Amino acid sequence: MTTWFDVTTILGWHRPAVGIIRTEAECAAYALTRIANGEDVKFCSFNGASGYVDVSADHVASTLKRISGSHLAVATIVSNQGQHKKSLEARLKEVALKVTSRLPTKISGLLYQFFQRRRTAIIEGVIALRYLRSAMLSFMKPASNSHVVMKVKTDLNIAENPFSKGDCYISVGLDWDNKDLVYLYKLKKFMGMKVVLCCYDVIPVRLPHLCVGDVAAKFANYFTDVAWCADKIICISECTRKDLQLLLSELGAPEPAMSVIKLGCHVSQDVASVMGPEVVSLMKNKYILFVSTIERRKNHEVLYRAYTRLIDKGVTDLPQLVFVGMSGWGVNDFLKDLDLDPRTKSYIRVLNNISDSDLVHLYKNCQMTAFPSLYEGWGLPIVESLAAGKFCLASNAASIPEAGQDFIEYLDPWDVSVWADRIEWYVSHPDELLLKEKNIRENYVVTSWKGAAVSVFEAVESPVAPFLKSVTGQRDAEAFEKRVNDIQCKND
Amino acid sequence: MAVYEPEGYPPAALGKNDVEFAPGSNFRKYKGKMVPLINDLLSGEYASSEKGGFLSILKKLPPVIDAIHVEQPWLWPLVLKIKKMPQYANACLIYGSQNIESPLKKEILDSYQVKGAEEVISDIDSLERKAAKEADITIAVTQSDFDILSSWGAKNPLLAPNGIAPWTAKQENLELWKERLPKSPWILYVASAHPPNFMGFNECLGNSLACIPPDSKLVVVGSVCEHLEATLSNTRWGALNLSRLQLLYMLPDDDLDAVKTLAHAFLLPIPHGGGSNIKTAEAIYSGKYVIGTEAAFRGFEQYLTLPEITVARTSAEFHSAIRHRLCSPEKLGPEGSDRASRNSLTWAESLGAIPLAAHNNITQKALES
Repeated sequence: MTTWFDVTTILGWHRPAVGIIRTEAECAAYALTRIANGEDVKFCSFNGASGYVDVSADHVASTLKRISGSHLAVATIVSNQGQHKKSLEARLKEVALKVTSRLPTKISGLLYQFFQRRRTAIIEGVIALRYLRSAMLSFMKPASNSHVVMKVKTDLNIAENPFSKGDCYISVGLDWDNKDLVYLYKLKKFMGMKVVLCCYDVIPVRLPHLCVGDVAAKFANYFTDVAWCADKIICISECTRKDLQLLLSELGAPEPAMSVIKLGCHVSQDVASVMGPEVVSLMKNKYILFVSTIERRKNHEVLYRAYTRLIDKGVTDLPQLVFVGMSGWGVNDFLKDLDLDPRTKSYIRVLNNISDSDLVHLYKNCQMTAFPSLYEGWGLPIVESLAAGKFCLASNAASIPEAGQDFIEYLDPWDVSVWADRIEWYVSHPDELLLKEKNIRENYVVTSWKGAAVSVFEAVESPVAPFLKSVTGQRDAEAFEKRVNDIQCKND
Repeated sequence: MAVYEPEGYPPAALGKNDVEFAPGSNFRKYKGKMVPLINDLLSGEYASSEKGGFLSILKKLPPVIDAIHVEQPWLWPLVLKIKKMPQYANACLIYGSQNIESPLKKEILDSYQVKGAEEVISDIDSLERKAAKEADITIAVTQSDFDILSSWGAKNPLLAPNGIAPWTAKQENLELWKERLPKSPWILYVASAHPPNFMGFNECLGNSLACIPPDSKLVVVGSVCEHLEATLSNTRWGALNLSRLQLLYMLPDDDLDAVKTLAHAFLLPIPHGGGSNIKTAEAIYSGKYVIGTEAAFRGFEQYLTLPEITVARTSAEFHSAIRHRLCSPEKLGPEGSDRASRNSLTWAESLGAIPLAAHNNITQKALES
């Protein structure tokens, strides 16, 4: 029996590995070690034109290198070239000064004034030209995206595939975008394969109002197809498992076996000594760190409101509150508030495009972290905080208590007063924070990415229910058998 | 002979004795008021009135009538009027009840939030009781209807369940539909646009068709299609539901025979309503898997012990049964279903007692006169 690991997602990925990409890449890296040990593990990928195809181990190895520079375990050592390189603005200024210095002072003065007033427009124009060039290149050479599945569903021939009867197939990637699960279901029936898929969270269905567009409908379809295809679903937390089970039960879809794995966490100790200027300036002050995309679900607003409440109350020795992350959908008004509210302007900082190295510095030097998210499938910033030895004030919602265990404190994510109270308390009790950090250092065990990958492959090796019991549900199958037997007995 | 609403029947469906109940007729008002969904009740007054369709009906009647058989109570006023005519005074009156109509009509009117319909329901109840009492022979399609009609004083109640006309699909139609329908086992729902056929669907299936495998479909035939599509898409799981739905709309009988023959299972999601369902009889007769509500099997209780039949009481039971059956082999055993035990479902068997009872009644009347 061959175990096939699907690498469709990472083959089409051309940026640093994060989240789901990281999971697939780490599992692929682990699969390479199993292959090296002589085990029967192979790679495959899917595309809409030809279905599943064999992918060589060499190709996967070079893909992992492309994504991370070297083996994934050291992928968080981020090249700081971007940070060292002078900004576009600085380079433009340098060129402009070089040119104007050769002109008569009167003319150079006029030119300086002319361009200085139009500085923003010029910089934005150059950025726009760069985007245009990048778009033209992508348009002219679409081949670099050859592994991204075509949206047009083709009538693929299920007889043409690299699998053998009884093989096992694992996918932990972006399957809602890159796969045709109807085809996979047919293939599974045709080949008698065992299929293991992954569920990261059910947020699009459970909290569709906090997502972009009407994703609930699309994802209900996706989760239903996953349930039909999978002999086992790997969930990244107990909360995700329960929520998925509830969803499948409500939908009336099959409930295949599920297992829970812990995703890995790797906060590099090997960081660059040079930090970005924003980070350097932050280090001089005390600050609370919140690492996350800025979107409504992450609930930055409760921290902002807690700060305004404390400031209004007259608290003056508050640490800075640092939000690290891209701004996402539905937060324009919130960001505007941050920009305009004079009470919090000097307290709240928003940082974006922070390198992994700078992020490590930020974790190591913060007073504590905060994570008031309304819902998570796991809670990576919590485990990163713990891996960096930092205490976190976190939301008590969804999977977050699983991620933080007994090492951190949990609060109602909607209760502004309680956030204000606990922030004030910890700020005025630094000794308590030190005790918390000591406990984390001594007792918290970081899950390695290799450990997570091993769990994925172990999930494949454990037995699963026969197909009929899997689609009918164990209890239902037994009830059916009993009912049919009863009827047959009556008839006899 | 039928008294029909022209807006509901194409010309091809009409017979030469049928009488139109025109949309603009004054008889379409109930005691001067417009009340929706009761044209069946109103057709009785129309048919029995000289200002309505009576004279036209009279012209179509033969000189001698041995028996008048009326399906449903609506035209009972017409039957009585004909019977009062001397030349038809000895006619044997047969009332085929099909349903206990008043609770069914109340359910329909309530579901459309029609207010102030109590008088209508009361009139229907009186009409049904009158028909049951005055008919020489009263026919029930289920045991419970039989009991009710008997309690109303029916003189000669008979139980004659709905039956079916056995079908055999043509080979070329089978080939054609095999190409068009899912290659994996699929489940069939055949129904008309009668409101209970789609209004209770979500109640039965819990708003979701996730119980249908990704490579299969719920195939729907009949005028229920567009209503069901709207019902299923207007839920939180609309996109999922539409991905599992294949609508065939109205089909000619030959095609319907092929579709029924190719189905792996039949679905009967009828949560309420009286009477017995011909679609249930067809489903049972098919020998395929049948999944339905208790209400859907009313009148066919004796078949519930067949191993391929599943009664589902909740949406979870529906989901589980559909998943189970669509992943089960086509036949439960090597022999498949037992056709002989289903012969009693045919019209020939189910209605056999009615002509016999009518003959006895006519003979008796002849002797008495």
